[in-house]
Amino acid sequence: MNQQNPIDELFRRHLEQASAPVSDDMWERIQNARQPDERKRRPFWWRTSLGLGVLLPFLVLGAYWWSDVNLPTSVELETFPVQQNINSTPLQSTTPANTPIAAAVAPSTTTVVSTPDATPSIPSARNSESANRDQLVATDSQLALSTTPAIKRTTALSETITTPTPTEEGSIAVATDASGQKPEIQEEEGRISGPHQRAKVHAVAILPTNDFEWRDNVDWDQFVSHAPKCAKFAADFLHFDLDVMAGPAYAHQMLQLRTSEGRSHLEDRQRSESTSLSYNAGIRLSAISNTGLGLRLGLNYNQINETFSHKVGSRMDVSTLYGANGEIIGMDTTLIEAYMQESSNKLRFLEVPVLLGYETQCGHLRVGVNAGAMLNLYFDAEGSIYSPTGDNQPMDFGQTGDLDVLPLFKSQATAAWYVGASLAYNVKNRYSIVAEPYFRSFPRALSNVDYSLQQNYWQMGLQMGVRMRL
Amino acid sequence: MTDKELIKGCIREDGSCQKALFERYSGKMMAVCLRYARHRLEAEDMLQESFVKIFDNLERFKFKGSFEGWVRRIVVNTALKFHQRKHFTNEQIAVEHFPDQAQDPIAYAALGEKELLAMIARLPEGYRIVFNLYAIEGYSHREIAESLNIQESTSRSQLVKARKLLQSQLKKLQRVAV
Repeated sequence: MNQQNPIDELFRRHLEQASAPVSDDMWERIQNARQPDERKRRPFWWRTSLGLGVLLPFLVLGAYWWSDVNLPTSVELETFPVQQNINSTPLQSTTPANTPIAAAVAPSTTTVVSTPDATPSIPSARNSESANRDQLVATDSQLALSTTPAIKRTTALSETITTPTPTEEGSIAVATDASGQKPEIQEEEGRISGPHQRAKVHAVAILPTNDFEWRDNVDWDQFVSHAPKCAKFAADFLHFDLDVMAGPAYAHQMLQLRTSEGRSHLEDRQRSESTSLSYNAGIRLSAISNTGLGLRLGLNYNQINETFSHKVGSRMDVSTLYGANGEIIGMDTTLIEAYMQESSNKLRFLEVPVLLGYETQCGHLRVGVNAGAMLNLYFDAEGSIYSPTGDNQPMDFGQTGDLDVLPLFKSQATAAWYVGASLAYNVKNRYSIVAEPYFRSFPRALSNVDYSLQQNYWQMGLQMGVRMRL
Repeated sequence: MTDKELIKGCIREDGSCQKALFERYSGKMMAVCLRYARHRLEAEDMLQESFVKIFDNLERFKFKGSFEGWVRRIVVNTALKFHQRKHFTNEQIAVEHFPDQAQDPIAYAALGEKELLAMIARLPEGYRIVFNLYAIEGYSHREIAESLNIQESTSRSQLVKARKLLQSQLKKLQRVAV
């Protein structure tokens, strides 16, 4: 206890146990301040979950698309029945009750396609429901049902598809017009039927069979796409790229006075701090349309590095002096009055890039531009600066809410604007090397509003990495 | 209800215990805040933040030593954090013309808490903080230097200047009284 000075004693005696009235709403203010704030309690978890939530649909979509286009060709061929324009008589009722129905919309005359090696098993009897339905189809002269044994792939497609006789069993019923003309659905000979036709057939098969007039009023053609149905032979509307990139960056510190009081501190900081090499690394998933427009999302880590040089007190260096034979002959002492010491300041950002882009292909080279925002998930700042009190002493800084350090920065950084030009060179199949020079800046200061200076950054850098077409 | 019972109730998030604890210590701690703050509004902000910290960290109190001392320590640390946030520029004031001789404290015995608080509030912020920490809280210059991230010599010089300013104000009061 420091009791020597009478002034100290006077104030301590009167004020040590003093009490002062508290405003009436203080208790309510404390209760309100103690309400759980989810954002404060789980900032990293919450924001990371949000970021993953944004990314997940794209990852799932990409994985689905990738698995879809990589199905074996034989599966595609066996899945999609092939139409041929062959006139035949309606199919007899030969469907076994326990086999799956591959129904086809068929007018009074049907075309039958069969496989040469198909040996369908024809049951001698069918259940009455199936029989009735077949009878109705025959009577109505519009619909025929048949079983469809799977088309087994042989050495050539032409061998697989033959023109059967009307009496051949195990055939596929394909529609022709009642007048003997081919329906539009069959106008493209040898075309591989798509899933839309099967869907149509199934829809018809489960409808009541005693009223078929509505079918005359339906424009079936509108349900039929004439575009090629095999994804392998068509240009996709979207393709997906996965970029993994990293690279160096230059970060430019911008300090501005908030009030005139901080001028000497501003000069101290400008004199003592310098830029070090910063860097950036990330992963991006891109959805690019066939027009070249695209959306890029991902996860990005950005670190701004700076060096703080400050003067420290005297230092004594002691070195040992050795003689010609290696024996110690004395000690040499060097007193250094003051010297400069360096320390690193680091600002770390974890971000979700949300970028819109356009790209175009020039041979093996794909050129594009990307622009958008880097949404901040996590921000961390640590290091030292000269104390704002002007005593030329270094002081650790941190963020709002940090204990025992100068809360120089906000706890959360704002989103940064980003613009970059990407160059991708296709080296092998789906793989390209990619380089992206970029510029980014923070629209709002990263420093705390209570701080006498306004601190902000812009960055320019180069990211390089690998792009994989999914 | 004893402090221990109140503390246990507060840890259980019992609202009545929390309010009772607040009422028991809020007056004293408000006086502490007033000594460090520039004005009453800032003192209220300090008090609010202090009690939020107290309630959030009550389970860390190990029932060793005075609970009031523990509470006061939190309030003082919160006040210092306010100082770090707000006081980013060094307040300079010329003190050379103030008299050096100390006055007899008995002469000021009639002074009340309110007048003394007002005198402290008129001190430049750096002086006020150092004076409060040294003269009333009983910190050493080393502890003050570590808390404020300043040199011990700075703490000493600020204390001397604070005393001189207070002495000057006391003399003025004395002249008015005479």
